[in-house]
Formats: sequence, structure tokens, C-alpha cells
Amino acid sequence: MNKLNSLQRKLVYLFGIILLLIPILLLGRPGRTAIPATETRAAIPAETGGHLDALRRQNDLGVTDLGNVDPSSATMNLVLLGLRGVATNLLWMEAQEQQQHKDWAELNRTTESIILLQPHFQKVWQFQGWNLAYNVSAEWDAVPDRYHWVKTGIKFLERGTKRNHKLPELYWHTGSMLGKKIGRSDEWKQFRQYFMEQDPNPKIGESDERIDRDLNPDGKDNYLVAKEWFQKSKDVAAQYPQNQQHIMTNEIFNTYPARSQIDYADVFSREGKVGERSREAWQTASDDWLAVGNDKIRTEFGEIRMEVQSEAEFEEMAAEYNVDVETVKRTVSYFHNLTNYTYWRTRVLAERETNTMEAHSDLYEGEQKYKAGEFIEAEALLLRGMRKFEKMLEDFPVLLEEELTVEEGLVAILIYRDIQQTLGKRVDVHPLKKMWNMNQSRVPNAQSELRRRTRQ
Amino acid sequence: MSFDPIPFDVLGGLSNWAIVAGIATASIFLFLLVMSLLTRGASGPGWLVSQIGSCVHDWISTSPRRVFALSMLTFREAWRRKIFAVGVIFVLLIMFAGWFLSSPGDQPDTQVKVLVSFVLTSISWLILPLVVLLACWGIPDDIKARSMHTVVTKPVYRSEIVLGRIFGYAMIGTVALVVMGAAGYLWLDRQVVDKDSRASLTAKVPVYGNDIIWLDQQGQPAESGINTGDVWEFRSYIPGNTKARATWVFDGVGEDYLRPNPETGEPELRMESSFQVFRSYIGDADRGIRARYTFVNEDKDLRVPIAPFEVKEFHNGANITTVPRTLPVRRGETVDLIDDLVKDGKLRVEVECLTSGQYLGMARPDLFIRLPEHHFAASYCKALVGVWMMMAMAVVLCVGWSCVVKGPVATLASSVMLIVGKSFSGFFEELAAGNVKGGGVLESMVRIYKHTTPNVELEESTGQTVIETIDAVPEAFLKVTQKLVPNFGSLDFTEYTANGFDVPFSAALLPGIALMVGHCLPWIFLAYVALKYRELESK
Repeated sequence: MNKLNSLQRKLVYLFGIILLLIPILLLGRPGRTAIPATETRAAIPAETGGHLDALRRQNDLGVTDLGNVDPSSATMNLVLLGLRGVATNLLWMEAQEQQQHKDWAELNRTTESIILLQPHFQKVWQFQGWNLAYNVSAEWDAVPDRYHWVKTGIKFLERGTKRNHKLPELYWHTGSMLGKKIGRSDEWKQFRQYFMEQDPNPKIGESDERIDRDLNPDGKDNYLVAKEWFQKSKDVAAQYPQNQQHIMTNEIFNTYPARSQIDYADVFSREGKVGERSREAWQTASDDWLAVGNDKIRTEFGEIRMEVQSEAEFEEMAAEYNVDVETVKRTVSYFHNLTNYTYWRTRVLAERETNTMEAHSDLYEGEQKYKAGEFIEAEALLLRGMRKFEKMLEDFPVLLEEELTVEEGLVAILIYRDIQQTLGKRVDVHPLKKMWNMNQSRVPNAQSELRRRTRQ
Repeated sequence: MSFDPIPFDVLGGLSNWAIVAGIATASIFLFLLVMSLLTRGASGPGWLVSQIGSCVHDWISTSPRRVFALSMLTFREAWRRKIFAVGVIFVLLIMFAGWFLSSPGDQPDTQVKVLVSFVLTSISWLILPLVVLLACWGIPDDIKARSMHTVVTKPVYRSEIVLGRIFGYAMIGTVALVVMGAAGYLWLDRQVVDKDSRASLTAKVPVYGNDIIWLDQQGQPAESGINTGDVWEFRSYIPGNTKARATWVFDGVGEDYLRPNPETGEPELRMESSFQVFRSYIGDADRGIRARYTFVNEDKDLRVPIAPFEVKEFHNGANITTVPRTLPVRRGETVDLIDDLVKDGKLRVEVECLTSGQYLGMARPDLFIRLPEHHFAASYCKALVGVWMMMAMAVVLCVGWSCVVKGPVATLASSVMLIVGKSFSGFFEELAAGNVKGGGVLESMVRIYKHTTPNVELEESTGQTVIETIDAVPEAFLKVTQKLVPNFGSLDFTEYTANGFDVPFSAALLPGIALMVGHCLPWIFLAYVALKYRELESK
């Protein structure tokens, strides 16, 4: 029998509660981050909290350590108690159904709800960002509408980086989307124009800004903005080695800022704007690529670099790490193959040359004249361009291994042959004969590419 | 819209309901007859008849005055419990929702759609739990507190108690709904400020045609168009620059369908479409896919094409074609849209895709004649009527359960029915029909254990046969019982209102009313019977 009266029982409960609170307080007491001094206030030193707080700090598990805190997200997770997983699953299913039913407004809203519940799960940001920019945008017919969804996807990923500022993959995906989706999709001409000159959204396009500053704050080329994001991803990966990226091997991952610079330089040829700016862009690209070559790569015997051109340098490296020269050469060659280093090195050096620039320019102009039906002018330009292109391949034969370079040459030949046929001339007499014969298997692809370009 | 608003067949629905109700009543009567014979012997049937007579007497003698008094009592009880504080939650929700729901880059119609959906969804998800919690606990609490004992000693019939509770809770729900609905409307009015967005805040009145008549690319009749790879088979596609056509026939077309042109005052027919596009190659990305309407009167051998237009995909209200009453044909002649092209009130419209190699997708509701639109408030109020009907049905269900079981069990049972009926009724139907891939409960468990996806057929074996046989039992149970759970989702008219359409009476409100009445009547009667024969001392 319980001999305690009501008041005594309550006092016992109270005592029990206080007793249990003591270890909770000792273990869970929150700490404080150091706050620097300002003009009006002295610095506040950091304060260590309880054991749990120390563990949280040690392992970077605190919400503030992961990225910006969204109060509504934290509230939502608290309100759902332990049902976050259930709610998340339901929302994912709902999002999938909304996408199938092409209910874009609701899909956007559901996506926002998902990230409220899973703000630090990077796959959510990555998947939904990709989904909006690639899958949803492709469903829309008008190019301005497609661009709207591409922007929505990229902005979504950008927000992901703010909420998870220590995860290099999200920075990389943002850069990749800015580079590839805006610069390489079928609508790249329009997308690049919207990105750099005139946003199609009337609320932005008719304002003083004309471009979307959320996406492109400094009004730069999309490849240069992408380069900045790739650089950030590289920096974050170096700064937080505990958050490894799992997209590709680190050596390839680290080449992306330089690759984006190459894409930027290359776009001048694609748009037929070869000149001083393109020369500068290629100069920067070659500097960037050589810097990649001089980056240290950790191997089993020591740190090496890919930019090794002479036997003496190999020997020096072998002596430094006390291994034989063949081992060093084999290792360097492995990384060369991995990153396609030699090709890109040759390419950036080749593209700086006046002959190469003129070759691209002539082939581009020739194609434009062909599209306009001005065959005589096109024939002359293409002939001149192909001769220069041939010289470029003689000077830098390694470029023959690169698909895009070969495609550019094959397309030029196809156009030239078509003009010759139209003008009643012999079709098999033209420069670049060697490349044509070597790459017969690639001709059908070049034909499709030509058809695609002429339809645009 | 993502569904086809089909007008409700009142006679068909009524006869179905009468058959089901008749069979159920006859089965119950037979069961009770057998039970009465078993428990009371030869006097059983006489006792059963007297009980039925007593029930009939209760209902005939039900007094509206007493029902009203009990309803007011219920209302006052709820008021004292400060139940209307739920309004504060709603106000808090909508005060801050504007921050999260729209972004400056969104299209005007998209913005409006999200805001309207949010308001209506919030209202229904706040109202429904409120009435469930109230209505499930009222009668059990009365019994527990013995206040029911006092009531039943008064000259009050059990039918009046049930009705009084139902009307009382419905009244509370109605007051809360009106307040939230008004607050929601004002909030929408404040949120939607710019001119383009306000234009989306409308209630279009569409006149839909009959089922589409399809012609394939050789011009031969076909059952449907082409599937271009969509998982969702709602729309079918016709290829461009071929003989493929989709034909709508609109009934009852007359002069009253014409509207004066806002500038010239000339009468014209306004047609709106929401076709979708599938490009087999990118083509001219800067130009949309072109489509054209042709009005056909076969009797007069008239085919009158009108000017082609570019399809603006997913832009609600952007694909409007105005057709003047007088249409030019060849050699300077003209025809009259109503006199020459409409035959017996039927207007035949052929749709074709003009862009070669590209496809135009359509479903029946994708082309309609637009009559003068109603004010947005009309559509909004009708959507609220839908929420009200959901609420009323929830009240009846909850009071019904609370007459049989105690508060917590009633809450659980009603909540399950509400959640299943509102969100999973489609899935439930598929499950009962055996169309869900992956089999029943046991088969699913086996698949999880074996890591086998639902699309893979399991090997035939004795074990598999046993599993399928066992799984068939709950499936059969589901088939019988699925219609007991009302399809609350069909009373959700948000999609009409959010997409800028008026809520149609024949395709939405009427089936909603039929659903509500059809479910509520038996539930009210069952609740009454349960309370009448319930042992009140058994708490």
C-alpha cells in the first residue's frame, strides 16, 4: 500500500524530475561560438557546452555547422515528431504524381515542402534541382518557359549550397547546370542570350536590370559563372576533406574550373566571334590547364604533377621519392589518360594560334553562307578554312583524337561536298582528305549534326 | 485540367443506390428475423415487427423544435470549449503563407493557382479534424458524464438526439467555414495584386463537347490518337501535317453562345484550348507548334477552316480563339456560323496539327466554348460548398461511430475513413479491383523478403498458390466494403477554382450532393438504431 499522501507524492515526483534534469543538463547544455568584437561591443569568447555539444561540434553535426538554418524547416520537423519519414515519403510520391500529371505549380510547391523536411540530404537538392532544370523544362514547349524552369532548377541548387555549405557536390552540380544546360542544350543560343543580355521574364527583362541577378550577379558569361561554382566546389572539397565528393575521381573533379574556361573560350568559335577576346580566353584557358598540370597529386610514393615534359623532370621526381623512373612515368601516364591531359594541353596551345582561330572563323562563316544559299562565297570560305584546319591538325596531330574537333572538320567537308554537288563539281576533291578517310564511321553522326544545325 | 468533368447521371446513380440500399435492408431484416427466432422463439418475429414499428414511430414523431433545441445545446457546448480558436491557427497560417508560396518569377496563373489551392486545402484540413474531434466525443462524453441519462428521461426521441448532435456540429463547422472562407477570400484579394494575376482570378464557364472522334494519319477512324511516351494516358496525340484529326461536337450551340467583341461589338464565339505539344525534333524552337480549327457541316458540304494559331503550352487562358459569326470562305463568299455551320444545335469542330513531324496532344476537356465568365467569388463559394459537404459527411460518420463505440475508437475509425476517403480512394478502388501490382499482403511480404520488384512475375508453386488464395480473402472483403468509405476526394473542387474555372453543377456539385445524401441517410439511421438499443450504463 502507498502510505504517502497526495502532496508527498507530488514532492517525490518533483524531486525525481529535478534529479533526472541534472544529467540531462550536464550532457546536453548548449555551447556558444565565439563572436568577434565590433565597434560597440567586445568580443565574446567561445564557450564549451555539455558532452553532447562537444561531440556535436567535434563531428560537425550541429544544424548551424551544416549550413543556414531555416526556422520554418526546423519547426516543421519538430511538429511532425517522429513522422518526418512518413511525411517525406508521401510528399515524394505526390511530387512524382504531380510531375506525371504535369501539374507544375503544385510540383514546385511539393518540392519546397520536401526540402523543408530534408534540408541537409544532398541527394534531395541534387535530384529535384536536376528534375526541375532538365525534366520539367523539357516538358514545356516555348523556349522562354523552358528557361524559366532551368533557372528554377539552378536557383534550387544554389539554395542547397547555402543550406549545406560544406558539401562540394552541390556546388559542382550548380556549376555543371550553368555550364551544360545553359551552354550546351539544343536551345543554347537563346538560353545564353537570356542569361547574359535579356531575361525573357517581363518582370526582370523590362526592369533596369534586364538579366536575372539572382543567377548571374555580375552579368558574366554562363561558362565563367559555372567556372566560379566549380572553383568553389574544388575549394570546399579541399577545405572539408571529411565531405568527400563521390561524382568522379578527384583528379578529374579538380580539372572542372579549367574545363569551364575552355568551354568559355570555345564558345567564341561556336558563335563565330573569333577575335581578341577569344584569344585572351584561350590564353587564360592554357594558363588554367597548365596550373591543373602543376597541381600536386598524391600517389602511393609521394606527390607528383602531370605537367612533366622532359626526361630530366621525371628523373628528378624519381630521385626525390626514391623510386625508379619507369614507375613515375607509368603513374604520370595513368593520370594523363585519366584526365585526357595531353589532348587538352595540346588543344589550349593550338587554339591560341592565329591559324586555328582563322580556321574556326572561316568554317563558321562558310556554314552561315551555305545556310543562306550563298554557295560561291561559302565554297571559298570553307576551302580556306579547311586548309587552315588541315594545317592545325598537322601541327597538333593529337587533336585528331578529339570527337568535337573531328566533327567540326567532317561537317565542313559535308557542307563543302554538298556545295560541290550542287554546283556540278567533283565532290571528292577537297582538303582534310586524310581525316575524312580515317573517320568514315563518324560520318553518319556528322550528317545528323548537320541536319540538326540546318533545321535550326 | 487534369481530369474529365463528366456530367452526373442522376437516374443511374439513384437506381444504383436504391438497389444497394434495398439489398442491405433486406439482408439486415433477414438476419434480425433469424436472430429473433433463435433468441425469442416463435414470438421473435412479432417482437421484431413491434420494434420496427417503434422506430418508425420515433422518426414520425421527431420534432424539429426539439432537434433545434438539442442542436443549439451542442453549439453552446462547443462555444464554451473555445473551439473557434481554430480560426486563430488559420489566421496565423495565412498571415505568413504569402512569404513562402510565391516567387517573383512564377507565371501569374501559376501563382494564383498555388495561392487558391493553399487557402482551400488549409480550410479543409483545419475544419475536418475539428469536427472529427468534436463529433466523436460528444455522445460518449454525455454517456460517461451521465448527462445522457437526464436527456433520455425527457420526452426526447433518440432520433432527435442523433439529429440534434449532427445539426449542432454541422452548425459549428459551418460557422468556422464561413469565417475561414471569408478570411481566405480577403487574403487572396490582398495577395493577388498585379493585373495579370488578377485576370487569372476568374471563374470560366466552359461548354465541353462530346467524346473526341479521332482520325489517324491516313484519315481513317481510330479509337484514339498516338501515345508519345507519356506515363499518364490522359491525352492522346495527333501527328502534324497529316490527315490525323480530332473532332469535337458541341451540343446546344445557338446565338446565346455568342459574345459581343469588346472592341467592335460584333458577336463572336470564344473558344479556348489547353492542348499539349510533343516535338519529335527541336525544329524551329522560337516558334510554337501550329494548330487549326475547321468548322464542318457535312449536310451542306461546308468545311470552313479559320486562321491557324500557335499553341502556348501550359499557359492557362492563353489559347483563346475568337470566331466571328460571319466567316469568309472561297471566292469572297461568307457563311454564318450559327445558321450555316450549326446543325440541330450541334457544332462540329475539327482540330489538326499543322507543323510537320510534331504532335499535338489533347483530351476531351482541352477544347471548350467559353461562355461569359462568372465572378471568382462564385467559384470560390462553390469550392467551399464542397468543403462543407465533406464536413457534413464527416460529422454524420463521427456521430454514427460515437453512438456505437467510445470516443477514442470513434475518432480513430472516423479518421481512417476520412484519410482513406480523401486521399486514397483511387488507390483503394484499384486495390479492391486487384489492379495493384505486387499482389496482396502476403505476396508483398514475400517480394520484400526476396527483393523482387512488383513487375516481376513470381514462379508458380504450391506456396505461391496458397499465398494468392489467402490474399484473395481480404481482397474480396475490400470489394464488398470499399463503397462504405465515402470518396471525400470527389468533393474537393479546388482544381476547378484554382485553375480559374467555375465549379459545374452537373459534373461536380450534383454528384457531391448525391454522394452526401446517399451516405448520410443510412449512417444517420444506423446511428439512431445503435443509440436506441445501446446500454447507456455500459460506459
